Amino acid sequence: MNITPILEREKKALILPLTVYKELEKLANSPDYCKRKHPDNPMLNTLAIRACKVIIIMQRAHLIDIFADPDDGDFADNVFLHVFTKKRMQFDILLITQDRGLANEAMNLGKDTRAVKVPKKILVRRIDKNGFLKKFFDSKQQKNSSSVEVVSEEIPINERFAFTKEIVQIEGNLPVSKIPTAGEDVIAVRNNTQRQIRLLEELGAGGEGSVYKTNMAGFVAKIYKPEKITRMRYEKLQLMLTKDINCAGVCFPVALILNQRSEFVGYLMQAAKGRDLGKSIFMPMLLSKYFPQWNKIDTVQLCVTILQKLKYLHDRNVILGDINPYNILVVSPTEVYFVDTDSYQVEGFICPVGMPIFTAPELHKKNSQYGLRTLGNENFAVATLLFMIMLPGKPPYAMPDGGGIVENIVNGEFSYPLGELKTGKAPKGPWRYCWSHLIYKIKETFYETFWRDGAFHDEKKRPGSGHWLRLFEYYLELLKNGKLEAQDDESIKIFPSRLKKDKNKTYARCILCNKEYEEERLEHGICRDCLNDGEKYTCEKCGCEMIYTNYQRYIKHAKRYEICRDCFEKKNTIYQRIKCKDCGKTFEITYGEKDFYDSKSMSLPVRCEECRKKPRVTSTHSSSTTQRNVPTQQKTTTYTSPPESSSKKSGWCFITTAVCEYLGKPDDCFELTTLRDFRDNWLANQIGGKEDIREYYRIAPLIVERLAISEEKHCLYGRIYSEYIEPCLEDILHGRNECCRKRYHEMVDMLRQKLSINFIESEDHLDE
Amino acid sequence: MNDLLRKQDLETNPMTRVPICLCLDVSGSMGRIVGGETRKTGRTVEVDGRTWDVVEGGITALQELVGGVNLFYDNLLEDDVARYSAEICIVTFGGNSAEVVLDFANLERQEGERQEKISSLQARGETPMGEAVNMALDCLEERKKSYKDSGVDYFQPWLVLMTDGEPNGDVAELNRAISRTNELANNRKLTVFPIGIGVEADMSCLAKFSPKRPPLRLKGMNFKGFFEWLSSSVSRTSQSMPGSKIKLDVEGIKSWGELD
Repeated sequence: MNITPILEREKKALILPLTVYKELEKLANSPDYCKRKHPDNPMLNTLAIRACKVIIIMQRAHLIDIFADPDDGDFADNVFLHVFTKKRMQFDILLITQDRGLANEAMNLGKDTRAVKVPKKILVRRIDKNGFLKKFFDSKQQKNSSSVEVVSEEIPINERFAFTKEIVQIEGNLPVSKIPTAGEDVIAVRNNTQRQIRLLEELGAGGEGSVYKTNMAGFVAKIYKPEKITRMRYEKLQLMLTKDINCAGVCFPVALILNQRSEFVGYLMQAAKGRDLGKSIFMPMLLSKYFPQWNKIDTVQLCVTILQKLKYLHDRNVILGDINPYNILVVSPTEVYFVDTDSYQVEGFICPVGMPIFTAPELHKKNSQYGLRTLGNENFAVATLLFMIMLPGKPPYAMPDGGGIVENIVNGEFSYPLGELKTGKAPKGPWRYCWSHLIYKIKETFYETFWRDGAFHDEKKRPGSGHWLRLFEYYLELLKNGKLEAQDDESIKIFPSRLKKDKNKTYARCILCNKEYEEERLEHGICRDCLNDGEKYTCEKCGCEMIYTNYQRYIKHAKRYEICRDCFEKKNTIYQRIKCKDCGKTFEITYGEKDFYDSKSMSLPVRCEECRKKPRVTSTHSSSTTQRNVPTQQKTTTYTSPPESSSKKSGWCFITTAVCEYLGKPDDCFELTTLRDFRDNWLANQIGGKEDIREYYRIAPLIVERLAISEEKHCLYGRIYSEYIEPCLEDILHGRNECCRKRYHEMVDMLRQKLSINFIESEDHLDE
Repeated sequence: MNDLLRKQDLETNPMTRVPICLCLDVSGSMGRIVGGETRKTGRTVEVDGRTWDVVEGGITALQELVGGVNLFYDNLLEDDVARYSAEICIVTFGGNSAEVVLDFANLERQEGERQEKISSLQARGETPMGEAVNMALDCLEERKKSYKDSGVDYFQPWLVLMTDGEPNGDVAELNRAISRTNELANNRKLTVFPIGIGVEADMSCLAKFSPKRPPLRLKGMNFKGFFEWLSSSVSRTSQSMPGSKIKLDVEGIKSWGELD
């Protein structure tokens, strides 16, 4: 942005501290100094020279003043902090800088409000590559959440596992003489205290063993299969029991289970309830079946609940490792259970399993068995899980035309857009809408985490459960206090039906369905869907279903067609050829004419039209009535404009017809009707318009033919619709007819190129 | 089926799909009686190059097969996950040609025509297996393409090939089908289940379609056992996540199939 006109208008000058100018001068005068100071920026010297020149020019124009303050010190950074400290009580301050160190210091200054209540704010922003102001990501939070080494001070030692880089490896099984089953007594042991408990009915069985209800209310016992009773497992559980992990819903081991001979057979844990995420939230069809009342508040609350537990565990250096939708059970948005906790990674005991879509790129790249995971690895799974709750069941790396999911994870191919940053490849269907309605901060954090060049893409920079928790709590608050809903009523839906409202556009409700749309997309106050919809009725002739579209009714004010297009076309096809009794020439009777005679209970004429018009000489019994009533050419009165069959005259709409057919739109849909209207009533009357139409008539059939067999057809149909037909309609609706004509040319050119059609070929084709 | 609905089904369902193509023999010999009470009529006919007694009553191999396929559908529909992730296409070979009886769609969408289409299958004509396998592979490719276009995840497809005889269609087509299948299977892009029905199934030809696992012969006419097993394998696969290794229940195979 050029600031000069603003300064001139406001009659103000920029203030440049002398130390800053000195620093710039030093950089401009000494390439060596530049290299030493910023070895990674080869342009620094050139940029500094340019900056100095600009300053001098501005100073001459009195747009910049260079000041020196003895308190400022020798370093430019100090100047800012000094000025901020001095002025912060009187003014709101905005610092724009690319220097993260300085930004952090200024932000700390902004937060340091312990001593005095400061009425003014200090904001710190950086300039992004597009020239917009962006927030700095608080590096302090980042550090806390992304590195295992940093342990939270508040967690007491008796709850916190140690950090280690050594994997524990213990070989061998433990001897076991009897695996207890339902109805038998076992011993629960912890810290030298023992308690006799009884196994009640079996609740479930899996690959590792079975889970039993016990006579201790609220607690269940997992009893392993004999081959799973290893020394390693025993040692791991022993270690897990040394810390007080006590978080509602986290079914962490609370005691070892021994059989009557005091042999290790399993562990005791809190009982879980609910449906796993995989078979509820992650399947939209089941989400609406099991949680029919849920809306966005519930899914966001669910994220908060899950994040609270994750944070609890992460703060204690417990890494879940195998985060997946089948070991998190949901009763309600606030009641969630984490199961299979014996596989969690504690200290040197690794979690040897994991699901590929939750596995971080760096682990995929290693391509080895899961070893010791870092919190950074885990944070990838956390982000994936949250994404798949907000876009129910959709993995973040699913995208059209992409490789497999794993390939996309490794390459950081994230397809959802952030502001102007788009790949255009986000999956089709409701997913873009779900994404669009997320609050910006969350979108940004997903984007920066998943996109290969994102600020948080690296293992060490990924936001942790604590960071996500704050974001989702904020989101929840906005949803609960109704702020988001007030802006956009779709924001509360788990599956919104459109993109989030754009502040720069005006919206209005469709007068028929009452849904909100961008105002310019409404036609006489009616939305596209409603224009294509309408009253259903049946064709008087063949009984097939027809729609009297709202477009015909409210926009065109056309009468309802009595018969369908097929029947209408059939009317003009030949029913019978008859040899004229008088002149001997053959003439044709169409179905329409036949119907006419039938309806009057008359037989078909035996003379051709010309002979019928001639005065009868020979005949004694005149049939003048018949002659008068003979429709020379059956014209319909039911259609307001001649409905040209797509194979005959509608070359110009040929392609649109094919696309609309592909999309399942009726032949009299809004799109086709508008374009036909445009062709017949505008284009045909323009200079060269008729030639245009003829030209397209030559090439369009070939395009449609090639399109139908093209490998890219699905993609192309969609593209034609969204990139050409829709914009064409917008053009027409806004009277930009020339634009529309041009766009249509472009479309044909694009298709010719894509489908390798040239004119010679097209003529050949027509000659055949 | 309406293209718009198909498109909508593809896009709104986030589940990872398991595309399965059943490539089934409905040649004349599948009309032979394999069970039930029969009465000889005394007449004979020439079908599929052999002479057959014409009888009344009885249950044909095709009827058993149809029962199995319906059971397969019913089992999958009962499973909450498989119901939304399995997608089935049926190609038959018999008469003089191969035919797509049911094209890919969500199982629920197919319900309307499934019963009718499957139960109207008739055993007649030749065994153009090569043509059918090529057609099946085309359907699978086409479906994979639509998954990719819509950004839908999928497991590599399964091809179930069931025959009770030996192929007698075009030799070049057969060889093309064999080489296509081999290439896909060797690149882990296809899982092939070749199943022989009865003693006359050409197991050596079936083996050519499957570089990874040998063909199995159905024990007796245990279509039910096979399709039970297949549906539970599909259920298991659909519950796993894409990229995970799928282990088949080898033990379970013993109840319905045997190696030659």
